[in-house]
Amino acid sequence: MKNILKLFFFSFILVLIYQAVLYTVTQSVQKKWNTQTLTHNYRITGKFSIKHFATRAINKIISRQYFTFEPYILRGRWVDNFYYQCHKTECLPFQKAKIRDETLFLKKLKNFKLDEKKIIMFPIELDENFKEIIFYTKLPIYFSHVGLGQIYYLNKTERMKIIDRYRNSFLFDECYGLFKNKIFGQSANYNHLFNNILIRNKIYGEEELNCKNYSLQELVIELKRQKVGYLIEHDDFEFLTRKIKNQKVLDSTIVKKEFCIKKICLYKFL
Amino acid sequence: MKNINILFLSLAFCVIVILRKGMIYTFASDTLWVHFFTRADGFALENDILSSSQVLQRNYWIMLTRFISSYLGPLTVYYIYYFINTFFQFFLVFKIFQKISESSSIIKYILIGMTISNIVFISGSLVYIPAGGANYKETSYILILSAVYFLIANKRYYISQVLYFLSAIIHLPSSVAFLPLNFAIIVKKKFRPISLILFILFTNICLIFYFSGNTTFDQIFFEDRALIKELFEFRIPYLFFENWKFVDQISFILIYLNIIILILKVKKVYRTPMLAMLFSHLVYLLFVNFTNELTFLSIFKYGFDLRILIIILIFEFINKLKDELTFNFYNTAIFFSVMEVFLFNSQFVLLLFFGVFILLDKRELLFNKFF
Repeated sequence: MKNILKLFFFSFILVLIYQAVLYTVTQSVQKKWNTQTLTHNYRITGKFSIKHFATRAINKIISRQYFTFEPYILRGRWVDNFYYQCHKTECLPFQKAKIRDETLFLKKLKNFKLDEKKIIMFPIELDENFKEIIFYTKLPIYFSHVGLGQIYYLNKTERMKIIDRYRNSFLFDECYGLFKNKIFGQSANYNHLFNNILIRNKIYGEEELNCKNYSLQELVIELKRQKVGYLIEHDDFEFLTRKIKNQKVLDSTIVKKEFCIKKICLYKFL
Repeated sequence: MKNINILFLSLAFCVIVILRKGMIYTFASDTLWVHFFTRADGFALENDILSSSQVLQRNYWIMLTRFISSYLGPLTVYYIYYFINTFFQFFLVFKIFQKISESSSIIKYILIGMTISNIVFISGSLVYIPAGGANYKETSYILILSAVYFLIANKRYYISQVLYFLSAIIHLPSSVAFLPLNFAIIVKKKFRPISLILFILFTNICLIFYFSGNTTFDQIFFEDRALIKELFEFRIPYLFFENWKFVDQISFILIYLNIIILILKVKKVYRTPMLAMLFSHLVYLLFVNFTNELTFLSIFKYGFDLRILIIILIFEFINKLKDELTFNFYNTAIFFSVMEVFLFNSQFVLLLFFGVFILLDKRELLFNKFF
């Protein structure tokens, strides 16, 4: 028995040493996303931090190694919501996890009376933050990057519907979205790549993805035509639409604020 | 090792997995599909974008799960399902090891349990063991483990074929893992006609079931094929070997190198079935390469065929543990490799030591007992 414990302990130390060596090697060559060429660049940094190594190692040991959804039981502890990606010590068994604003928002959305014939839309930029939405509402979502995954299984007509939705979401987000670039920069790179593919394959011309050619009113009319009834946006969105109204544009572009959790609000297209 | 001990050990590892990794409802990339499985009350707009890819018609597993969910509630079904899946995974792996190794050393079982209690990525295409999540793929994998148990441990060939068949109609790509071993056994039995017929029949029926339900060959000739190919490479670049991380590429190659080393070291009488096994894996490699190019047929990934083989390699590796648990090269390397998988889910060291062990060690291989 003693020998077994010694072997476990010794191998544990060996693993840490091995990981430290790997860490040194990987840290000396740092991967960096280049938005100009849309590729990864590697640069020599020569950085080594014991604190960073320890944090990274512990984080890797205690947290899950792949993005997962965990409903109600989070490492031995009951929570009253779906949980996406615990962070650092939150991942230890029986630890209290901090509930995000997005989760609070979704929980409120779950109990909110929504028109069942409508679709919910949220900025592509918030895709990562609203992955759990499908667990909280029966309403379909207008577009998400994950939803793009079914594109290969569809026939051409349905595929084009998804691509059109992408374009509307992209333009809405890119030209008028208030969350734009505040959460995840990676989404912008993703969209840039996707646009390039669509332009290269002549699905859209460059002008069709250009903000100058679309007003908010036109986009909202198009979204309403496609049964989009709700929008999740920043709490300044109402102000923006009011400002546009003052400039004597169509009344049909007006939205009504339903509720907010901190900066995140649910709007209804009127 | 007594059955009751295996039972308790499986339960213990179940608890460890749940405390360590939580109850995994779904992985992020599978979210699109998994949501359908337990959502018994359906969507408000059934004909909208989420349901346009006919996920509900994909297999009977989804229909059955939704049916049970309508009575018990989706989350109750999920919890029961997750626990049973996790438990059976350990239980079946331990039972297979029990039959072929006849080892009574509990430490070997613990090391095996540790190895498969963390996610081990077999390929850069995100094929992994063990099972996790409320997903039909995992049911398919558990059925395959059962099929291997009957194939190897109890020599009940026909039961194993039926289990494979069930696995294949649930998720064909996951069931592929059974075929190389099955083929090797058929070769060992010198192509007994009934076995071969059953083998071919089941394989064919499964392929027909799958393709008739989802993909039509005329989709390949869609005019926007170039666009689809580009979107495919953009959305799921990890399907292609050249896009994997360097360490994943090396690990993947190491698995095949280890098979070759095993063939060199296995008893001569078992060399032909082993070659048949290697041949099956290579055919699968070519098949994936071919289907990835055709996009619409790309339902298979590199590494699906290796999900059983990797378990066998783990058995073979841990079985090299010396009975007297002293500090020697073999014991230290095994504990080190297992700890690396358990803590940091990297199987690279294990695969590296595996080849060295097989070359150096003179003891009889477990592989000999598989046939």
